[in-house]
Amino acid sequence: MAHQQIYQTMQLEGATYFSAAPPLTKRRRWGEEVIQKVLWVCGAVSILTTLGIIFLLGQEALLFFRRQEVVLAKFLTGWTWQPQTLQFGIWPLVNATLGASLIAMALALPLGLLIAIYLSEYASPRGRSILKPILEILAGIPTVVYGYFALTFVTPVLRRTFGFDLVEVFNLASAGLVIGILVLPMVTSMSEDALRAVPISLREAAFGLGATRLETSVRVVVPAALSGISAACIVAMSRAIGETMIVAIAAGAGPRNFENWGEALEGLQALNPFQAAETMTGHIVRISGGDLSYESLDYDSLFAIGLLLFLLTLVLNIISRAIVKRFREQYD
Amino acid sequence: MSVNESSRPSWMAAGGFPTGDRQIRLDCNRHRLGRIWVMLLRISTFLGLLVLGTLLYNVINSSFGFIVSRNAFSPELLVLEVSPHVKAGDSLRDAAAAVRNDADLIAIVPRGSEGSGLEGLQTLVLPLTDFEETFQLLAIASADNRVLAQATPADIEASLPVGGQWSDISKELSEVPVRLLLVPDDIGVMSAWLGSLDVPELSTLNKQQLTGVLGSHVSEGLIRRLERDQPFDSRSKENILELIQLRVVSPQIVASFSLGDTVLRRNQAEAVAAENLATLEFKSWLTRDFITDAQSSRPVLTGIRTALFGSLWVIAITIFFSVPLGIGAAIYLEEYSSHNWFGRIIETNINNLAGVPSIIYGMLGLVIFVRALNLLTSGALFGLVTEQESNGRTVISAGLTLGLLILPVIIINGQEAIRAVPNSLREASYGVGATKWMTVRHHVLPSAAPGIFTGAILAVSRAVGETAPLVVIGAATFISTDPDGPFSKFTVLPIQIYQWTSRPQPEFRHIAAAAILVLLALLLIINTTAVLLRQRYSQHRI
Repeated sequence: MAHQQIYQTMQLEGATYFSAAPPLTKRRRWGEEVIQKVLWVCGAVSILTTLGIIFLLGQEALLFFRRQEVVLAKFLTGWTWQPQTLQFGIWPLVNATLGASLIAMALALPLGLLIAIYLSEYASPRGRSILKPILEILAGIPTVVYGYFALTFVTPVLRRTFGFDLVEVFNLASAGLVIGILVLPMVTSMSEDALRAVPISLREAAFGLGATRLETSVRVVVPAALSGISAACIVAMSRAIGETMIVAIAAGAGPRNFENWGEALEGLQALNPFQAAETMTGHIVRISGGDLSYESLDYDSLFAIGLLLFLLTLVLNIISRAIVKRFREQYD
Repeated sequence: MSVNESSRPSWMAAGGFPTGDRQIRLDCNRHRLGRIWVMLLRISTFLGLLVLGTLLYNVINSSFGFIVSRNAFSPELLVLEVSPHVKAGDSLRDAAAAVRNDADLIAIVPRGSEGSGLEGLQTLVLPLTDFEETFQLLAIASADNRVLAQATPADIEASLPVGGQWSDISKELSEVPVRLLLVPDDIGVMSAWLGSLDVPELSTLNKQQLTGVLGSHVSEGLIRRLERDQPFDSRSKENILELIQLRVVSPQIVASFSLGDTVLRRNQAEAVAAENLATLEFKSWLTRDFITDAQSSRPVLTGIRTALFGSLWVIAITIFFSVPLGIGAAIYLEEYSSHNWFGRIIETNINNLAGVPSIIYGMLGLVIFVRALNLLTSGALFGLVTEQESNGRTVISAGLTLGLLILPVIIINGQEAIRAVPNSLREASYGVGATKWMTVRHHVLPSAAPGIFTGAILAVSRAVGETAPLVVIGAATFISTDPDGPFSKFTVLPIQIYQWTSRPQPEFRHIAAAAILVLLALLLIINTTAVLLRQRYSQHRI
């Protein structure tokens, strides 16, 4: 890097001005090389982690799919997850995961974006210096505390509001709303970063044309920051999908099974947010929380779910990075 | 930016810019819309703050409040059994003599009264205080409350009928009527009566007396087990007192109230207490005992010491593993390889790793550290346990798993800190002939240190609150021994909170809330350290 350039310049200058002097050669410094190798190993650990995740999840999941009880097609299309009767259809778990995540997004996206606009476009520097740390505190609270909050506060409030018959003690809505609160700081701070990255000249041009502050924010700044904002949304979605403790505590212990697609979609039963349902992450935690034999079908099935979960979040993360890279507006 | 057709406001389509009154009206509308939206934005922000407030309120609300509790066996009665003015073991005749002399009131505590009920009667002669003389026989209760729980009230009444006379029991007794008969359900009345006596505290007894009390009230099997755990001779008085509290007195919570209910619905709490003949007291679930006690299956007696030590052990391992590794990787990426293909791969890879759900790390830890490296992580390799009973679900497995989890965060934060070091610093160093490592060691790192450490501490605070991966790698949910090394079984604070929250009984909600307060305090301390560190270092640099 920098020192190489200097080194090259020195060599060049040596060649030009001091041609009589012996050429500068690079002496091998063993200490330096050892340090560089050690640091290289540190960097390589992260690669090993990724390879480990992919390899191990893949290997164990393969063990699962190789078993004769398991049919891949049924795994991908089935609506019953019942290891006791050897029925492994992933949809009840996926449905609950997506349901909770969508509820979370429905809360976190509008609220997060509005707060971000307020912080970036309206709040005074002093107001921002108070509000941002508070949001950071919210981001630093452990998820198990949010789980407690969901079960002991949000669920009772929902039950009192919508009726005790309609809303079950464990339900997807409560878990989803609290996941929304969990990802809110993330949506806010990422969106705010994107909004603040929009150059001030754009705002000034809009004001110069007679736009109000609202018109400037909504019609100029937000569109300009759209790539960053959508990346924030996708990362938040990925985080919501992978969230575990809240759903493990508040969403229920047991997949919401159906016979087939017809039954699941009949009267949109599968989408009822007020009933208990188990998400992918919730299922993994519940099953692995008990004493699990390493050779059992249950154990292997967890890794099939884990692999799906990993791929789902990985794809979302890659998409978000691609959006930022591809659609970023360059103003300078 | 060009204005295209679709984004052109509707009023423009009508033909040209509006003028005069129309313009004023339009402008008014635009500004009104603006004001409405500002309100909306303010409300949204306020909602965000409200959520944080509600969350804290919810936790604090459950951590303190009234409890209505009832002892299974009154501690005063235990004191009376051994304290000087009570002659435990007096025969019924002696007791009756005392009654005849009008000297004392009597409580009769039958032992093993399954049979005819009276052979095994052991009497306690209690001092006469301010009771009316008509209450000749005050109470019948079983020693451990279990014998009479088996016998029905009718059984007891059959052997000692209310309205009968002492002479019904034995001809030698006087013809004084039996006035009050208490059956187990009414034991609260007895507690209230005993409360009015001037009985010294249980803790004023000496160790020998306490051991005697314990021995006479629990089964022999339990005594043997306790003796095996730790001989009574070597136990402290406090320990025996605790055992008596747990096994004999064993307070049962009838109802518990949140702080809000305690303040606003005091009457209701009092009504519940009166209904159950139990005592109402204000309880802070977060006490010193709660922090220093080991785990127990009973919510009133449990503590979080085991979990706290577990958390500290796990975090220590996590720090030792991931902080050096993370900082090393950050240095490598920023100073050595930021432009070659390997650096780019690691970079992308780390960003992806940071987005992997934590539970996946738990599964990774389960397969690698718990299963594959079983011999290493259980300590079998070092001869601590035999290979047959090696179990990789130990502190070190948890620490390493969390280490992998926060590694990407430490690397990313470290990279940012190193990147912020101005290039002129490096070039000046090279200019005076320093090697690459000298430059990094003496110029880049000191300058980036506050940022690196702040990032690392924030990452560690994330590991402190992490639950899901540890559930997956199999932290023990109930252990009462403190972890004493990297190879011991453990539980951590978040897992305790998870366990307690998942219990249906309301008392466990309260202790979960108290544990949450401890966890949040711990995180606050860690994060404050990070902030202070940053401030201190940045002052030094100027």
